[in-house]
Amino acid sequence: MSSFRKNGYTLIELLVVIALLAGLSAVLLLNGAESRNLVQLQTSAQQLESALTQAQAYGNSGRAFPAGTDKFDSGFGVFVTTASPKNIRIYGGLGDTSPSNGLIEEGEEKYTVATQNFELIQLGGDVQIGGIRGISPNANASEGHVLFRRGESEAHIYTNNQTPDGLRITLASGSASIDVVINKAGLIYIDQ
Amino acid sequence: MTNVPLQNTPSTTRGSFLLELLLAFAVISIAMTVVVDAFITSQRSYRLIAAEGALTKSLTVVLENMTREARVSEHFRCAAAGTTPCTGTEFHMTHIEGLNAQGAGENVTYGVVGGVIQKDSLDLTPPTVNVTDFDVRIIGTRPAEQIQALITLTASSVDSPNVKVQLQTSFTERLY
Repeated sequence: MSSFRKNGYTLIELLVVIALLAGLSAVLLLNGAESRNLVQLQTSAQQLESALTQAQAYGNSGRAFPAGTDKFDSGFGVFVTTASPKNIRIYGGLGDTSPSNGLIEEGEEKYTVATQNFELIQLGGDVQIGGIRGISPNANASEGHVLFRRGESEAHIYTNNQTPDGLRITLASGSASIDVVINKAGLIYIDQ
Repeated sequence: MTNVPLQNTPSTTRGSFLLELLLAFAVISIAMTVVVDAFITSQRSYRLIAAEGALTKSLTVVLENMTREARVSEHFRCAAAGTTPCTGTEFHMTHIEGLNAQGAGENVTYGVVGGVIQKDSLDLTPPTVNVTDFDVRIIGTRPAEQIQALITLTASSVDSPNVKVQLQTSFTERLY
């Protein structure tokens, strides 16, 4: 056996080892990125589910909004739009302060920048609102309003111009997506 | 003391003995089996606990909604035109005051359709939950007694059918 062979590895051996390590690293990095993406998507879906649950709980309890003030609102809602795909808004202060007929009209419950306070929740990573779809009637929409009136666990759902029985909000990141579904009875769940 | 140069023993020069290699493989295999088994068991336990938590949460939400609605309702019964006492698989009541989508005097029905608890044909449990039992027992007769409802829900997870949860609640009809 030569002294060179005794003292170290051959170039081929080193290249093979480097190639194996490079291959393994590539697989691990790709899988890691995909896993992080899925975890982020899952977290965002839970954020949206909790925002809806929070609005429902606020509606049931008639809590002041924004938190820490003595403002007492008639209801709470969550607003999402594909025009601001990173934002989820929980808002309060529905309807007119003194409606002439004593009733809150449906159109007045929708979120408007001018009249309502809101808490902003921003989706992390590459996650964004990929789609909004009304359920029964089924129709794609660019915005969704989910309202909980004071004392009620049931939801009032509006899209741009419809009042469907349910709403499916799709969160997307890359090629992956998760849906958060809510229906009029107040059922909220993550559908993946 | 003479300086004797170090020499490799024959076994070192020739590499590992086959038996040593086999032994090493055996030890590593056993260690890996134990570690992988422990990992799989912990993953399974986590999934079961998560499924059980999700089931409990879903059923709790339903029972809370029912009890909240029952506070402003009367005429608890097991059928649309039923009387008390009774047992059944549906719960009916009549609103005294408007709440949710109901106005005063409207009837509400809770029941199970295809493993899903529904309130007036709207789903109250997600598709991941399979409700197997919705038992209603209503006791008491007006006017001598207050009407009391005992609701028992049993459900299993669609993804892990072995995970089952049973929740029970009771509430009394208020006097209006």
